[in-house]
Amino acid sequence: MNCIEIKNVTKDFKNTRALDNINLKFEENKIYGLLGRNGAGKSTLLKIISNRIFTDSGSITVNGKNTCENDSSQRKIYLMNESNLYPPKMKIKKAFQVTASFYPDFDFEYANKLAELFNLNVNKQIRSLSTGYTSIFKVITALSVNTPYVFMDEPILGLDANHRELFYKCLLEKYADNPFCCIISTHIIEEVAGIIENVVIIKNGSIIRDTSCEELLSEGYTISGPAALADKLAEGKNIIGSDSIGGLKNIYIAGKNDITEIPVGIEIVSMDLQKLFVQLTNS
Amino acid sequence: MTTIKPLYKYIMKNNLKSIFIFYIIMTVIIHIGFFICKLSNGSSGGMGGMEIATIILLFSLVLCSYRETINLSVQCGVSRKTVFISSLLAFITCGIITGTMDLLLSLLGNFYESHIGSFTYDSMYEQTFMKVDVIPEFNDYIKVLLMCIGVNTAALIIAFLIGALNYRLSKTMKVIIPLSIFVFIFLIFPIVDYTVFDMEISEHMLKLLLWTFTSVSHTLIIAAVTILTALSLTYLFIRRVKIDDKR
Repeated sequence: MNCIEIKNVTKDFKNTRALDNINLKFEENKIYGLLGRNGAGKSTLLKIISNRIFTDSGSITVNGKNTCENDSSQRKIYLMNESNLYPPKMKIKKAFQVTASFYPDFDFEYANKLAELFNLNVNKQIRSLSTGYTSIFKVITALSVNTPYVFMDEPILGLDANHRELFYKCLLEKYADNPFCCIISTHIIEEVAGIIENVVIIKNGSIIRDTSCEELLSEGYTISGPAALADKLAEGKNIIGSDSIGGLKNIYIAGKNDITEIPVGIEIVSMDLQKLFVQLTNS
Repeated sequence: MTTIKPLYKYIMKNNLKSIFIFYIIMTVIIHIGFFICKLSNGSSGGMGGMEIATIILLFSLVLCSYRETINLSVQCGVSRKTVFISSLLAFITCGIITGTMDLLLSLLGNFYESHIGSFTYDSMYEQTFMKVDVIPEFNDYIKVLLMCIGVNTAALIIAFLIGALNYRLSKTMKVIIPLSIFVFIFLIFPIVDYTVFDMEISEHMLKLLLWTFTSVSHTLIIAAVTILTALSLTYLFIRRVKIDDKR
């Protein structure tokens, strides 16, 4: 099967282990959410895959071919992250042209269409863009490049709510027309929860979850209601966290929901992805 | 191979624009020099060594564009070794183009020199290897071409090396290393050479310098050795460099 396979990848920065023996697969034509707290190792992993930095041990292959210093593998990958590696004085339309010369499947028409949708002036220099519009430029390039694997590290950085909604819409339309493997790394989990199929959670350089979104969400549920009632119902269960506001309490339970009788005043809901993520990654 | 061509074209396009403008300006300067001499009623004047300006231009071009080129290349899925190969091919091409243009400038300058006595033009080759007031012949122009190609290519590759080294260095090292080189050349080396080696190293270096400028073939040998050494070091600096827009 075509995929990006990460085997036994370890990366240290001086005294810090950024990635610890990571084993992972990103299969083609799926949307992944790569989630983790600050400093968990998400960006480091993406940079290693896209040949910006080197792993200390292990290997990464794309469709069976090593990605390290391999042009043919790297042309199947495109990473957009917070760094801007395009010349700051370059105009956006020139950046599209240059990218197209390296990625033959780059869709100019689509890029220009997106630029119009997002109100991005392609005659502007990259350095003159605001934070939000720099993200928009990078997102448009990533969506137009048509590589089998696209990595987006914080794609919605600086985007207002309208642009964020437009981005998700364009991403899903693009995915529906031409499926590709998209790996989104973001902290705004509640927004991407609706579009990602698979979730990979990194904590302190190690993978703690690599599963479908559905399966991950079935791992927990929330008991909400008056504190006393909620505590009684949660007795004997695997409590991973709780919140209290006044007399009301939310108790987060890990495991499948096996409660058959729900007392009046109590609500049992599945944990949303962000809540589950917070509970899983809290120390 | 498929990424060498687009990167080569990108580097060439960026460099050729500046090179084209540069040679238009140099041609205008030679014409201005010629017309000033012609209109000055007997006063004589001359110009020469324009090739130094070419060397400075090429050096600056590579030094200023290195960071952008390597960053853009890796963003677009190009490996570091492809950056090295494409850059090398582009620099050899630029060396040949600018060498040829320097030859044409030399031909232009000497054409004017042969037409009015008050204007003299001496290319770097003429200043180094020929007697005063002697117009070069066909064989000399072949040597001008070879010398300019060799020296220009060496300048490009040295700038490539400095660019690669500069990219890898931290902010602190970017201050320390140039200062250290300065201190070494002007303080430590003379003292050590004088006290320990009785100025022998300086003598040998002077002999090597004189040997280099004895004939064009010697100059080309030194240029070739410089190019190969600089290329080897450049490859070592590029092959595992971490790509970061903050560098």
